[in-house]
Amino acid sequence: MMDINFVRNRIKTLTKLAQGDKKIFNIAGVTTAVFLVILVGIFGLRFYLISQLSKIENSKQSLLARIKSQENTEKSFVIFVDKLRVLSGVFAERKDKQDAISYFSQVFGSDVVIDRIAYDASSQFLAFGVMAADVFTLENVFETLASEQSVQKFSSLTKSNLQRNSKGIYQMQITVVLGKETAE
Amino acid sequence: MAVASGLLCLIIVFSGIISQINAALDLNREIITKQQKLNLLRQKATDLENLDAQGAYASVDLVNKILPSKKPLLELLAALNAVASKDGVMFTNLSLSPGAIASESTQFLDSAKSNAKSNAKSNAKSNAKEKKVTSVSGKGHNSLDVELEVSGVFSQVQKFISDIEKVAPLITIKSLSLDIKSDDIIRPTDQVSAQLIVSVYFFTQTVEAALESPLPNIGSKEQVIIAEINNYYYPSIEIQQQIIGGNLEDLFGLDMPEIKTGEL
Repeated sequence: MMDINFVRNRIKTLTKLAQGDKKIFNIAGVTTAVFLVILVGIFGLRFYLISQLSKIENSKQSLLARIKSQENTEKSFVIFVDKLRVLSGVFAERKDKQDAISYFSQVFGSDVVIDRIAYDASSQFLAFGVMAADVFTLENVFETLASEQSVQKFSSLTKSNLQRNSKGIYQMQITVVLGKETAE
Repeated sequence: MAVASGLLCLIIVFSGIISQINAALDLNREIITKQQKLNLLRQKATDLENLDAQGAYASVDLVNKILPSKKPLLELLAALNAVASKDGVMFTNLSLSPGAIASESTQFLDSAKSNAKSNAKSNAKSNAKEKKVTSVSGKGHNSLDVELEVSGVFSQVQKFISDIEKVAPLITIKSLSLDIKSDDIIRPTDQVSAQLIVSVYFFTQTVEAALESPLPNIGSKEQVIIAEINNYYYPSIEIQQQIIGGNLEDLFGLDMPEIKTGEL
């Protein structure tokens, strides 16, 4: 049997629906408004960041102009530092040679004279000739060359061309390899 | 319907927000990167403006004299002359192209090298471990070889040999041979002559720098070099400013008195 109050029921249902829709509409409206506010805020932040970027770019151009005005000073300084680095390498090579000559000049004593030196920087070879006054001095030279101090100081130490002249002076050639070594 | 349209609005707004947030984050990252580069540029500009106050840079003239950027022939001659005068030796027979291809010193060095190599081979066979000798590179510079002969008292020649490596421009003795007059052992007061081959160094490296690259640092090794070259000897070179001498204004006798026709 049909409900006689079907209109009232229908109105009730529609009113409920309308209220539900109104609620949903309100929630959606508030949420959209919040999101729009956030969006506006983010747009504002973007504009701020873009202006910061622009300021940084301007500062960069100004600093580049300052640096360019000091071009000659920078060139002179860069060459200065490069020359120091080259000198560092050259001095390291020479130091090995000078240390070796100084070592052998002092370790043999005053009876031994270094009468010739040949030095090859590329292969780090140092060859020198020594003159010993007599056989006892020569024996001292041999002992010094075989000593632990000499062996540890130089990676390679070779004696050759031993000669004796008419006055009893002994001459010998000594070759050392300079530079650092690494064991594999 | 309302729900659908509401959801649609939310989706559109939400996706717009997401894309804007991503764009803002990208901008922020870009700002951070550019700010770091800006700080480096600011540091470089400040360093350049305060360079004169840097202690190490005060030695720039000394470094340029020790390692000039051109072949220092005149400077070398001045240095040799100055050191020879100071140490009381005479130097003669200066040569820029040292004699024969295989001079006595070169032969001496070659025989020494071959002896050392054959000795090294026999040692390597008996030695289980292999040793590697690192070579020192010579990049950034070149050298000019000069052969000369010095003579004097042995002790003074020894001092000359020691002092010649502590003068500007940078000189290294490559070979030395003492000419001993007798077969006796040399005494400090004996007259000797020494043949030397010296190398004088000059700078040849190409230097490049970008506008935005930072200034190079002066490390501890470079500080040591600066301290060492401060003790070197820097002979002065007199540069001729004007032409001296002459006084011959009329070399070809052009200012002759006029000869009249009747006088011929």
